[in-house]
Amino acid sequence: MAASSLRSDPRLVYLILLLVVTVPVLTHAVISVPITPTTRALYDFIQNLPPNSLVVESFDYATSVVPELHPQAIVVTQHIFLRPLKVLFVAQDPNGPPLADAVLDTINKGNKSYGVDYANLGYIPNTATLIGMPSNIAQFLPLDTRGNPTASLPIIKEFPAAKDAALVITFDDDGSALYSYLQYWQGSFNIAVAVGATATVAPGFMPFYSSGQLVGILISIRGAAEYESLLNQQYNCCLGISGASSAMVALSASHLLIVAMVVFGNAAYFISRRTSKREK
Amino acid sequence: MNPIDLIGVWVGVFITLMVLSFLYKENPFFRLTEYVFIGLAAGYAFAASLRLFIDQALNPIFVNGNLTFIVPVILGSLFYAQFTKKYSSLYRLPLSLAIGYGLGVTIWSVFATFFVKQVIATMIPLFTGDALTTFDNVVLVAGTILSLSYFILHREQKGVWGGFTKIGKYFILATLGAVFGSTVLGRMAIIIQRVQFLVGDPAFPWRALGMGTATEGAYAPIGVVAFLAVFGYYLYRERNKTPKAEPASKATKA
Repeated sequence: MAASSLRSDPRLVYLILLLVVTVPVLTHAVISVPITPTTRALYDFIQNLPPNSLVVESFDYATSVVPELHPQAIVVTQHIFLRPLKVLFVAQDPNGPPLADAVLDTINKGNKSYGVDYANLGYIPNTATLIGMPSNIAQFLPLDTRGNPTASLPIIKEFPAAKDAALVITFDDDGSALYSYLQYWQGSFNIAVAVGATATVAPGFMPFYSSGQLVGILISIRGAAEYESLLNQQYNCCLGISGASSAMVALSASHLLIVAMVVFGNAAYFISRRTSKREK
Repeated sequence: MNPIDLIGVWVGVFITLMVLSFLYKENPFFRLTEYVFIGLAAGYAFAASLRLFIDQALNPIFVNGNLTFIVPVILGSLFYAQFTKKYSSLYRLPLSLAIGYGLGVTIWSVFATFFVKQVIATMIPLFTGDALTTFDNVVLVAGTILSLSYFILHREQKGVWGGFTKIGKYFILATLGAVFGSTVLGRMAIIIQRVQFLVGDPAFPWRALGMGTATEGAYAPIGVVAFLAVFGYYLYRERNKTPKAEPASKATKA
C-alpha cells in the first residue's frame, strides 16, 4: 500500500526527505566525523610544506556544485593562509575567478597582502596557456583579475614559473581540470597534485591516489568537514568557517533515509512478486 | 543590516523555490527561472570570452604593439570561413593545426599519465606481512585483471573463461554501486545547503557566497512565506480555471 502510493506520487518522497533534512538543520545538531585517509594525506602534505613554498589553487567548478566544492576551497585556503606559504589562484572554469575572490572575502588572511603573498590570476582559457604556465606565468596570463600586470606582482617576481610550485590543488567538478594538471604539470614538471572533488566524480580519482599521482583527495562536503575538524584540532580555529560541519547530521540522516528507502523498495518488490505468483 | 544584501537574499530564496516548485508540478515559475538561467549563462560566457579576446589578443596588438599576435588572430578568424560558400575550405587550416597540436601534446601525456603509471601501480606484491594489506593488494590486482577480462570480446564468454568475466562484471557493478552511493552524497549536500539557506541558518556560509551576512540571512524565511503565498495563489487559480472550449473543427471531428 505504502509502496504503491510512493510510486504513484514521488512528491511524498520529496516531502519526507525535506523533513529529514530540515529537522537537523533547525536543531543545529553536530556530530564528529572520522577523518578519511585521503583528507588526512592532503592536510599533512600542506602542513609539512617548507615555509615560503608556492601553492597553486585552481577553481575549476561552476556555481551548480558550490555546496560541495566551495566549503573545501574555504578550508584549504584558510589552512594555506595559516601557514607561511604563498598562493596563486587560477581557474579553468570561467566561474572560478569570482568564486576565488568570494573565498578570500571569507577567510582570515592574517597579515598577508595581495600581490606579495597571494594573487588571483584569473581564468586559464585554453590548454596552451596551461602548458605554458610552468615555464612562464606572466607571458601566458599577462593580467590578474584586478587588472594589474602579472609581471609586476612581487609574488610573480619570486615565482616567475609555475614549475616552482610545491603543490597544485584543483577543486574540480568533472575531472577535466585534474586530468590536465596530471598530464601537463605533473607529467612534465613533477609538481605534486591534489584534488577537491564532487562526490560523483571522486570514486574515479581513487586509482590516481593509490598510484601516488595524487597526494590527497577531499570528497564533497564531508571532506570539507573533516578538514575543518583537522584545522580545529591543530590551530583551535575555523570550526564552522565553511558551513560543512553543521551539515553532517543532516547528511547522515538523509543517507539513512535513502538506505531505508532502497531496502523498503526492494522488500516491497519481492513481496508483490511473490503475491502475484501465488495469484497465478 | 545592508538592504541590498537583504534583497539579494530574498531574490535567492525566490529563485531557489521557483526551481524547486517543479517537484510539485510543471509551472510558469520554473520555466521563468530556466530561461533566466540560460540567458545569464550565455551572457556570462559571451562577456568572459570577449574580455579574454580583448586582453589576450587585441591589447597585445594595439596597446603593446606586439604584431606576432596577428597570426593566431587571423588563424582563429579562419574558423568562421566555414559559414561562407566561397571560402569555406579555409577553415581546414586552423582546424588541422589545432588537431595536430592537440594530438601532439596529448598523446604522450595521456599514455604516461593514464596508462603507464596506472599499470605500474598495479605491479604490487600480493602477499605482505600485514593481512589487511595483502587483502587490499589481492583485490586490487584481481579486480583490475578480471574487470579488463570482461572487455575482451573476441572470445565467447562461457565455461571457465565465462566465470572469470562474470566475476569481472561483479567488480564493475560494485564500482557502479560506489559511484551511485557517492552521487547520493553529492546531491544531498546540495539539498542540505539549500535548506540551510531557506531557513536562514547562521551556519550557512553567507559571506562566502556573496549573500551578505547571517543578519540579512535570518530574514530568508520571510521570503519563503511570501513565495509560498504566491505559489499557493497560482495553484488556487489553476484549480478554479474553467477549461477552454475545444475548437469547433476538433469538436466536429469528434
